[in-house]
Amino acid sequence: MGILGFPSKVDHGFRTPDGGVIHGVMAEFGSAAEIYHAAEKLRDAGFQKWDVFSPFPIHGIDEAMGIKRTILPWIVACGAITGVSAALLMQWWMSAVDYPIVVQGKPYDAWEPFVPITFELGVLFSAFSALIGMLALNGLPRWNHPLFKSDRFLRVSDDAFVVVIEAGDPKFQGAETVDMLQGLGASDVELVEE
Amino acid sequence: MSHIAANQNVDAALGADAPAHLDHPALREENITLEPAKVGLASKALMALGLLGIVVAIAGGFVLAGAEGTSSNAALTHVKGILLIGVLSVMGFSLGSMFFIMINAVGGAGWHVTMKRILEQAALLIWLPVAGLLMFVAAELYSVSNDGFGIVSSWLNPEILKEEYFITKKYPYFEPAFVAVRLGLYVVIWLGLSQLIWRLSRKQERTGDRWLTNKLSFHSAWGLMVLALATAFFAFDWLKALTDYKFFSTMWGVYFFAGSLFVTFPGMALLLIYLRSKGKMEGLITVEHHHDLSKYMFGFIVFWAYIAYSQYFLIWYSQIPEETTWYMHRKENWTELSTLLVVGHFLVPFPLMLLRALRRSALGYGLIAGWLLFMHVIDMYWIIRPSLGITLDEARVGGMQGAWVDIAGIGGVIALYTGLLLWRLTKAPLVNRMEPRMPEALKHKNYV
Repeated sequence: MGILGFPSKVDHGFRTPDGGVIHGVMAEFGSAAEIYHAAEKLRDAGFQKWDVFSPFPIHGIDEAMGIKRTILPWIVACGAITGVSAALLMQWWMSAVDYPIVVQGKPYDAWEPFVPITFELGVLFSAFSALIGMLALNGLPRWNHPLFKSDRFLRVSDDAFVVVIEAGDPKFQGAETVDMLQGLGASDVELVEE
Repeated sequence: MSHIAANQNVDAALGADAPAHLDHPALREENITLEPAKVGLASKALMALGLLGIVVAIAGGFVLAGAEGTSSNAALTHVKGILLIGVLSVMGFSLGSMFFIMINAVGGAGWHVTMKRILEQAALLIWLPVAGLLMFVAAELYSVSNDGFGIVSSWLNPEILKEEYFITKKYPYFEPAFVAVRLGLYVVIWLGLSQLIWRLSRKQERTGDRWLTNKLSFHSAWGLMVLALATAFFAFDWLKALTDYKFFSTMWGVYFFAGSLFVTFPGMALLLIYLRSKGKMEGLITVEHHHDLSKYMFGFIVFWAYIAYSQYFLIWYSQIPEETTWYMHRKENWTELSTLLVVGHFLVPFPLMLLRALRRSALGYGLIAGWLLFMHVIDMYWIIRPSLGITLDEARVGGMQGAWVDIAGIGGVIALYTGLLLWRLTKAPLVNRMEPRMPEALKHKNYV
């Protein structure tokens, strides 16, 4: 994780045999079914900071991993409410307080002409908060990621099914976690350096 | 129950060609058969209540006619208008169901096929509101022949025909023969399309021919256009021109059409909750199907608000007198009702239906669905009732407000329709088991 996209080295106290700082442990599985069942076991073991990578979407993997529903809708709702309030306040202040002009003999503070702009600003702020909120929740943008150092990880977009458990996970225990992943049927387990 | 016995034989007749999903436990006989004993009492009670309500409304109308301060002319107008409000409210459910079947057929959707038969039943019941409409038209013609006594349709009023400027400009459209031909076309299109949809589905059930699904897609492609045009022009003739022939609004057809779909989804949600409470359609209608119905409910809350506001906004801005009078009458003399429509039809249900948990909880969407149905009736009431002349305060019988005529008449038509629909549901399996897209609907799931 970095600030404003600039990566910072995060040390959780785990070292490779060569003395490098461990980002996490990566395990490759043979098929979607195998990684699905491994995910269920990892979920039940109580891991928090981990993820499954696959070349295609696996139906039901969210439940298998125990991923909670995103809070993004609530962020978007806040954006929408902000947009709607700002639009109403702005238009009311402009046309009824700051610079009242008679238009077609309508009341200065008639709500009818405010609606289109209120709608537009509500949508605009919703869209902004959806995009920015999504990026923020994903820790984006960032320049690089430790996982990109691994050739095995690059195969995720082709034919590899990979689980990565980060060293920052409270349940992460170095060699024991490696053993556990091998016990779950991982074909290869490698340590990823920060 | 010969039709269900016939379905059982299909498996044998098809042999190896029988769809694999026929063995699915959810499609077992007792799960998709609504025994008359299960709903007999409810449907009979509703039909009796409906007829009683209609009789009470008509009788009450004539009591009102004799009451002080109310002319018999106004009372007759009142009763006819009230019954029309009921007829148009239930007509929306049938038309919306028809549209929903066809739009799904054109789009190749599969998730809805477990509820398609019930939609077909609702569409098939269009004959009831059509019969009500024709009775209304007959009553109007009778009134016209009696020197405009108790006339609802403003443009049919002989007095107006004599003197008004606008009627001479609009007369070609209101030429009686042309109006009659148009009405005939609407009826033929509605009845024809509902029969076509019904027969294709029943034939598929008998023969197991999966290509009939494609045939429905083909007929839906032109059927959608024809249905939309017929419904839009019906709304011009019998809703807009009825209340004020001077009123202009190209949005009007969409307004009624959007209202029809607005009523279809909550109506279906409640009907499915009811059927599931009777132990039917287990595994066929799940929370996932309800979730999608809720999404449609939400969508049409927004769509209705969008077109209703657009129509009002343009008229408000342009200030053309013959348009604004229609809205001014409703804003100034029926203020509470207009406010209720804005708040209850949009402002309250909109944020509620944003909540995913509510869209997936039977109690949540059930309560909202009931409220939305009520709001649709209020919408129709708001369109027609202010044009009937006497206000709620003016219509009094022995000190009591005449609003009970409104409730009996509108409630009566709705109860009659609901009772008939429940009774019809016992006449055919609740699901067309031969539907080739059945597996898709059986494992339907919302990932968002």
